[in-house]
Amino acid sequence: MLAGIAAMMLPTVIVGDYMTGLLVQALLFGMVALLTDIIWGYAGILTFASAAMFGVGAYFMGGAFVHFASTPGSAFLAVIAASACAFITSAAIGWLAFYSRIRVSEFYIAIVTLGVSVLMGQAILYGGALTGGSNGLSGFATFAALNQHWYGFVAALFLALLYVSTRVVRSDYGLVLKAIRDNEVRCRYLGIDTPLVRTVVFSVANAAIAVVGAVYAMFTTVVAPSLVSMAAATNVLIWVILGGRGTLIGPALAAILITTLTPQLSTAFPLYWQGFLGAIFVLIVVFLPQGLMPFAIERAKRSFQSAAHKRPVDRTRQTAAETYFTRTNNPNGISNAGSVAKLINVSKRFGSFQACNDVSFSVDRGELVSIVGPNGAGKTSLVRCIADGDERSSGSVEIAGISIGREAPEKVVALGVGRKFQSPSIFGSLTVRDCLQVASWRGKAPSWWRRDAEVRLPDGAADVVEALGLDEVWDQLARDISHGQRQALELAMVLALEPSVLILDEPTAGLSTAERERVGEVLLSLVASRRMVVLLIEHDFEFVKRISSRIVVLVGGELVADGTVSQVANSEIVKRAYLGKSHEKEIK
Amino acid sequence: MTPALECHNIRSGYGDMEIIAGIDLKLDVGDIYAIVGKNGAGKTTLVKTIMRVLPLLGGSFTLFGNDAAKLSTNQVVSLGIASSPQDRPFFNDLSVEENLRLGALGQSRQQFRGEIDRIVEMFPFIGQRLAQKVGTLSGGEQAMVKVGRALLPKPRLVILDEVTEGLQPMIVDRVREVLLRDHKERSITILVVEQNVDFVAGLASRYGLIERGCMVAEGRFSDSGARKRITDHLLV
Repeated sequence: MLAGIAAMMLPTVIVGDYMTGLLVQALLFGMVALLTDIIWGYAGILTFASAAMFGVGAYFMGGAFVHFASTPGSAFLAVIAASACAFITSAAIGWLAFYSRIRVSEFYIAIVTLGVSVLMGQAILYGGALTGGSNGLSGFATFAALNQHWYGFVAALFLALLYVSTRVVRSDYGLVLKAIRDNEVRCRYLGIDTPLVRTVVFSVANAAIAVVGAVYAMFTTVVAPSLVSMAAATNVLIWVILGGRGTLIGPALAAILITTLTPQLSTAFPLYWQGFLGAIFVLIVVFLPQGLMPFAIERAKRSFQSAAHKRPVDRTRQTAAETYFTRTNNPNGISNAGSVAKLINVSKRFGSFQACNDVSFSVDRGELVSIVGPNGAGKTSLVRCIADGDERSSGSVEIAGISIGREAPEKVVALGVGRKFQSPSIFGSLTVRDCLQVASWRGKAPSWWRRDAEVRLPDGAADVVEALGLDEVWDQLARDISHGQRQALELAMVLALEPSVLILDEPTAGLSTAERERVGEVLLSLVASRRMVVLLIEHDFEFVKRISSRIVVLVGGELVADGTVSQVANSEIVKRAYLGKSHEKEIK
Repeated sequence: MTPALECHNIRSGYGDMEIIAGIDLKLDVGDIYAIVGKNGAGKTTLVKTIMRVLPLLGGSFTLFGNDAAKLSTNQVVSLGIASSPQDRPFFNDLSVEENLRLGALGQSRQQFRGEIDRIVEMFPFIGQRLAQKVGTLSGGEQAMVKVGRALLPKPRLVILDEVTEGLQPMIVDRVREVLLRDHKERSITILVVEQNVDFVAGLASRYGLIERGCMVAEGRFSDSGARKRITDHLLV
């Protein structure tokens, strides 16, 4: 740390006063780039609002100094007011963009931030004497200090910000942010309140950008509308892309480099410099889409370990599974109270298409109920209605006596519902270990500051990890493991929530017969020991017959049979609509 | 006669990770071959390598006599090779018919209509849903469209990766019938990758067992004890 500060102070001794002043600006822009990288690179929110937030800070500070006085007191109040304004505006954007129940794309959020930036730009332009209109605010008095002292102050701010943000992105919540960026839907079904997490990150980072803007105004004593222009807004994103999204230091360095080089090169090559910069940008986006920093890191790694190139995967298990995670035994599991999941006249329509029609049934503790039916019978639609309050068109769903109302998935998870999707839904860019750890936190990561070294899994999840060999791929990225392993991983993740109602949509697709057996054993033991409820959608009818305590049959969205395994397996409707010839062969 | 597919000691994987560690495989025209193996054995990686989606890290293979190292995925497809991948690579916002059409761009409108009729005959539900967006179909219905799309361009070689996944038993039987019929009428070569032993036993004539990226055994389903051998392999 001290060495870092010493190294950062070095330029002031070597370069002149002008250059020191430029470096102060560069470091301020570096902080903006870094904070924008947290928003975009980590929280996955493509934002055009960074320049606007910077402008908010600058204008609050400039305004305070012009219209009141250049005192520490007014500066302090301006910083508070600016960050509050940025925070509230961002929270409002977050509320608009993340809390909407309509599924919105990343670009929708980008457009909202773009709109807000344009709005702020216009407000400043037509702000009259308050904002100085197109002339901006300038020539106001500020604190008398040498550029060197400003540099020391800003460099300290920069290092502090770098330290704090590095800690945060490496903390438990940093992992949750990566998970949200990867697969928000899965996060919600793990009980993570993703709208809240994203809004908090967006608002806090933008408030910090406003503070940086305020410092900028204090230093330069020039606040112009160009700060909040479209060009400024896109510049920030260019820094992030060039430096490398999701690397923190990369975007900061890109911002610092471009800011310090621009005046020199634009005087040396007035005509070509912009074009040159544009060409570099295009080349980097095309050839190094991840940005300069990841490329540099990759290069450095290569030169250190060139011998290890293209090594075959070591698939031998080196350590016992127990060393990877700790088992948590939760003795006060589940009471023996009656019905846990109750569906009353549940219907689901897509436009004119009726996927489920007036389905009612209830499931008691310790029951494993399979839902079978032809393809397109509405099985997945039905279980969606149990796991997300907003899915059903009419009817009601109760979990342990509590109606799920119109609650979002993360709230339904809190009632004890766990859902495994039909195609495995996991976090591709996280390792198997990290996927399981995120799940094991059950919606609330322990810390914004530290990283939990241990993975704690309840028995059910631990059993799946061991029985299906997930420990063998423990440190591999989830996108690199096989389809069946992804199925197993998602199952283990859902079991880590210790749900009282477990919804499994074709959990054994992609698993071999032996692995199916093992999954069946784990499920049966959970049903027996924890009195868990399992709702299973499955096409392997032999498997269904072996492990179910009850079978319900859906055909064309209607519940046509509900009974014991033998009742349903021998019913005419199942033979005719579902099994077909396979069944006849079985009899032979 | 030139084999449909001939692999010599091919190796491939993701990035630095080698998954396929040297596989030899030969399919004559008209063969129905089943690749069986446990999870993570490298089955899907093999398919992706043959389709030239993943880079070849070593060895060589030919497709109908053409050196595959020189081919890109679209050229592989234009040789008359169709695949039905394990995941669901659809254009979700396009209709069923548009998705099918994209699988058979080489055909004239009339040919395409004829082929669509054949697909509808296999899976009658598709006939009622031609205008519906694929993204709104159920998982099993998408699986049927996937098989339909692979067979629609009249491929010479079709590669099916876990095609029975998510299908009700009745439809699994239908898929097998359709494949056997196409095999008989058009003598197409079929490579199936499966864990569903019952399905492949009723379809394929030969099988290969893959483990840790290597071919550990090959044989014919007509051999005595073939099924037991495969089942045992999957159980261990």
